[in-house]
Amino acid sequence: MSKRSASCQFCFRYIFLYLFSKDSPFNFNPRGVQLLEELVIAVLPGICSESDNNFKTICFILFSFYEIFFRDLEKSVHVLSSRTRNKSSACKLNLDQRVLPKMHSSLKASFKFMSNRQNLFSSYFLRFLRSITLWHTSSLWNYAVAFLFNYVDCRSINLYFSNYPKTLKKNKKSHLKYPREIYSLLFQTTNYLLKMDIKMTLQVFTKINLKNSHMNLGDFEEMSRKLENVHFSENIGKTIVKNPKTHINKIILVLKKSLPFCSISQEYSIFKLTYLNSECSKRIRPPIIKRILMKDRLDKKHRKALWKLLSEVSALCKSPSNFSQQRRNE
Amino acid sequence: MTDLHSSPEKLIKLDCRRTGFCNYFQSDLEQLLQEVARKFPKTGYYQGMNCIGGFLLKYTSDYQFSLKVFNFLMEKRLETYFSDNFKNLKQLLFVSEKIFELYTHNIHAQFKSKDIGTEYFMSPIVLTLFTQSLQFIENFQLVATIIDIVIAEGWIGFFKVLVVIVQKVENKAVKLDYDELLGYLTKEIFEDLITLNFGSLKHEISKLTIPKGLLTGLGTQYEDTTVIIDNYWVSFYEKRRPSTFHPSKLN
Repeated sequence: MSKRSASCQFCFRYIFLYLFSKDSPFNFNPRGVQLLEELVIAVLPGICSESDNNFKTICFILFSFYEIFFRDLEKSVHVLSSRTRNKSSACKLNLDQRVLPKMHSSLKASFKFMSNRQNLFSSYFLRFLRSITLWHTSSLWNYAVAFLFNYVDCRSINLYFSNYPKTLKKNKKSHLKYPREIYSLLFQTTNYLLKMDIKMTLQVFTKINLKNSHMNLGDFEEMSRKLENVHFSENIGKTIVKNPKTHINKIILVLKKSLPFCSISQEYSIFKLTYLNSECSKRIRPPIIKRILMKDRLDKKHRKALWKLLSEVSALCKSPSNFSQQRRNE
Repeated sequence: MTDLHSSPEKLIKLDCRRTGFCNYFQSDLEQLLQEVARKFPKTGYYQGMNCIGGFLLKYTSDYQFSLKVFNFLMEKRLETYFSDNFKNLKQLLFVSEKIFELYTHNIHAQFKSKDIGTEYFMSPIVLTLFTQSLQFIENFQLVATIIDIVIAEGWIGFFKVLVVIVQKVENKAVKLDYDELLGYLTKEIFEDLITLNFGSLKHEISKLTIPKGLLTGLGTQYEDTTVIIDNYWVSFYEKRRPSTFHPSKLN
């Protein structure tokens, strides 16, 4: 795997996480998602054709996109409370219709690629779920839970992945290789973040399990009892929500490391993304501006813009209270 | 020569009149320098700031913008070496001489043989970040490129620019005699920079590596040397000091 594709992998994975864990007023900012969309469209075909090592990235990108763009959230959320439904519908994105066909063709190629690797798919799906636990805003949890409900509950969607190449007739079973962990995560999310009633949650999940027979009934009841106990313990919040500050540090580190391998357009895109988060903006923008400044044949107009930005970021870093004001102006 | 005890306002006025390439912005330049000097009291105003300010005003044609960039340069680059009455300037010159010795060996040997100190031509370049060259020739594009490098890479970038430029003119400079070389270094070198192809200065800079560790090492070497010299002079004056009266000696 080339350095470039490795850095792109990290970059995209962390950009997604970054988008999902950023400042609350910008959750699912359409502008940011649109940028990501363009980035992924440009890079996804290249990643698919390179090597199997990129499988993890593809999974991550696909699931994220699948969740964001291709789920009918209204249908899946009906099992949840009315409060939840209102929140999730408020988070709907405006998808650029010109981009959608391109996305579809890229995704089709990638699904084909994924469906040939059934074993890996399951383990990566679990990792994906674990990564979801890093998201920490309630609207995001609505999305995540809606996605999970759909995945666990809807057999046709389960089969979508395994059925994709019609020649592949084996493995029509559910991909839930780790049902215990997945159900545990689902319980935690619904209880802790959606503040749903524990009894109602258990009812919903029991119903889903009965329908799909992911786990046998005895095991499921035992797990439910344990989870019920955990629900009333004090530490539950700490186990789910990791420290977002550490998380952002990681993202910044990875973005910085990715920069030398990015093209100018990718750098500009990352640069624009940094507007979404104050911490990232302070720490990522100066190195990007500096890298662009060192490019050959910089015209006067661009040079002046970069000097201005850099001096403004520097001044803002000294007085963080100005940041929100500047962001409002932008 | 300017009177060292003149007030900063007087100095600024005088220097603004001398900044020939910035005639149209003289009052703006005065105000800009005074504002910057007020904002950075540790550095205040020094001769050379007028060239940087003049360049920024003329290149950007915008007072507020120039002020922002100047403040940025002062805070991030210039104040490190020029604050507290040029406390660290000697260190900067020492480091640059050593870098010359390492990267442009021929011309350094020529300077040494003719007994010309590198600080002779280095000081104005360092203090003005090459903007004083605009007094002789209007090469705004090149100076802007150099400022880009200083902003992006800091003093390492500046040293790289110096090395690349000196390497370009090395062949010519080595052939000159003492007087010609002095004249060349103060004026003609800047004219040559235009005739030489500097379209890809940034590209050439990127090929040159000056490790950060080298600068730190040279900085430490300078500090160690200063300590040794200071100790030498302290002991020298201690020895020469007349013995003082002590009551115990009476017994």
